[in-house]
Amino acid sequence: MVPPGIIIVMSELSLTEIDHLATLARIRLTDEEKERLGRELGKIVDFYATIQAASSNGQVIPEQAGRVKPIGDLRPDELHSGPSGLTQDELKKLAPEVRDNLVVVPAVFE
Amino acid sequence: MTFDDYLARIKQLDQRIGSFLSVEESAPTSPVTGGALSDLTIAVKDNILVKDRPATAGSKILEDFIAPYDATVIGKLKAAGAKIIGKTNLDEFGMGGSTENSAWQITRNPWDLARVPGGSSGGSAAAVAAEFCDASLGSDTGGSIRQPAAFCGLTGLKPSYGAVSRFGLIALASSLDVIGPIAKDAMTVERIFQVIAGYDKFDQTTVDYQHQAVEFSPQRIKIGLPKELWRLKIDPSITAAVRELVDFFVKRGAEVKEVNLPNFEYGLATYYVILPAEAMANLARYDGIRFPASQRSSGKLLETYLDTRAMFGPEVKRRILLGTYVLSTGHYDQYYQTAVKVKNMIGDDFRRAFGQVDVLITPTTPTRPFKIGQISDPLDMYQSDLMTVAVNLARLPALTLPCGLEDNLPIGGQLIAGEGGDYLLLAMAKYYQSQTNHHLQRPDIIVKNNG
Repeated sequence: MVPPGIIIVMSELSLTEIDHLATLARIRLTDEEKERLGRELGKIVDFYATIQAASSNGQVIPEQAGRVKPIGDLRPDELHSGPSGLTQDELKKLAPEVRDNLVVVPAVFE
Repeated sequence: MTFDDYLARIKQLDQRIGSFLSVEESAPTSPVTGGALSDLTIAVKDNILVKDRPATAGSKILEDFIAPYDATVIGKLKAAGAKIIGKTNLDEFGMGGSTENSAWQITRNPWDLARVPGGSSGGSAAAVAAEFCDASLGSDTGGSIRQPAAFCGLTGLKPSYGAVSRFGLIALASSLDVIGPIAKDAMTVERIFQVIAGYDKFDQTTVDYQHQAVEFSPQRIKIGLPKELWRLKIDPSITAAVRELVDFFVKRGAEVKEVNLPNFEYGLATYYVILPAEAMANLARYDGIRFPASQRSSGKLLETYLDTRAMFGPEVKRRILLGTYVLSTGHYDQYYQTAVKVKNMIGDDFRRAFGQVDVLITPTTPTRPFKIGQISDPLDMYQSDLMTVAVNLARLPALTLPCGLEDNLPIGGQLIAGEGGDYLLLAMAKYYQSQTNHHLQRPDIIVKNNG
């Protein structure tokens, strides 16, 4: 329960923040999407606050991020054919544009 | 039913349900005969590659993509004689709990066409419930096999992390993703799991899991009930049905005790930090260069990225931005690193619990299937994963089975075991289903149309 007199202010991500994230993620957004995502992401980020509580409730927290025990083993570093004898030609067929045996990429520099 | 019987039924009924995105035109010409699964017709979630067939993952950005090879699980199914009948609908890239987030169509719950089948493997679950196939494959990153199986009155297994190869699964969050079977009964689920489990040199995270069916004896089992769970907001009819499921085993001699999972409730927030972080990295490959869908009219690289990635749906954009947010400077420690720590705490809680008991029983979902369009707030939709996400974070196996009906809507109970305890869950579910008939219930639409 919220004590009387306390107002909970829901966070909202600013348009500047949304623009920055969209640029990093290479996602183009319409103005309507930016406005909506600012609100939605703000609410979700507020929800994340609950894990801050969990991580500081007096328990000893293991520091290292991974702590994943290694399973399986690394295969020898050698060439081998993929599954079902997948060929280069079959993979190249997936690219939108191929020329002279190369995948075509639009110009990086203008 | 034969493959052709199933094709006829799909033709007759699937326009009302929408479970398939693509269906085979006819039975395979030379299936393996006499194999372990030669009697089974199986549907496959459209994020798992079947050679020479479309694999859209429910996204426009994979339109026109034809899989150039079989996923490891598909190769194993075919070698065992199983016949693949089609590819099933899902929330785009597995992001959702209702199958309303597919770029192509929504899927309806065969038990009530106004309601969702759950998600993200909603097409796979609806196809089995509508009797369009004997079983299906789904994938589970935070509950995407168990929640739709529960909503559609089915048995579904989320195997231990690493028990089943993900080679040929379109990745969502690689530290959590796992492929598993959905069917009416645990016997069929087990037969499929036995075939698809095991080490694969193309998936570095797999272990040499050899499944062995075991006899189950309730007198030798200790069941744990996580104390914290019953405090959460759960539909009372679900709580009652799951209590009856527990009582079934207790009456036959099982021991039951309360256990503590103090960090269980933080699983949801933890999951929704880790998942977007991994998903945004996995989805970076859809850039208009490597896959057929490409918007390159500008002739410029950056514009090609932006124009192509505009094809992602709203939930995918939302999670890509969230992932970018939690991994960005200033937020990485605050959110991502904290989430990883809490994930480890949740794993430790489960390990302590499995020091005292063999299996945990919980509801699979906090609610029964909700209405199409009922939940529009993303955070409310995430609540649907409340009971399931912690299991993925802890890499554990879990199985959902039908344990009741309320207002003619199915209720699922979740059994959770320690890592590698998949065999125990299957043995327990088979034992339960040999003495009860919840798994034999059929939706009216099927009874009326097919007798």
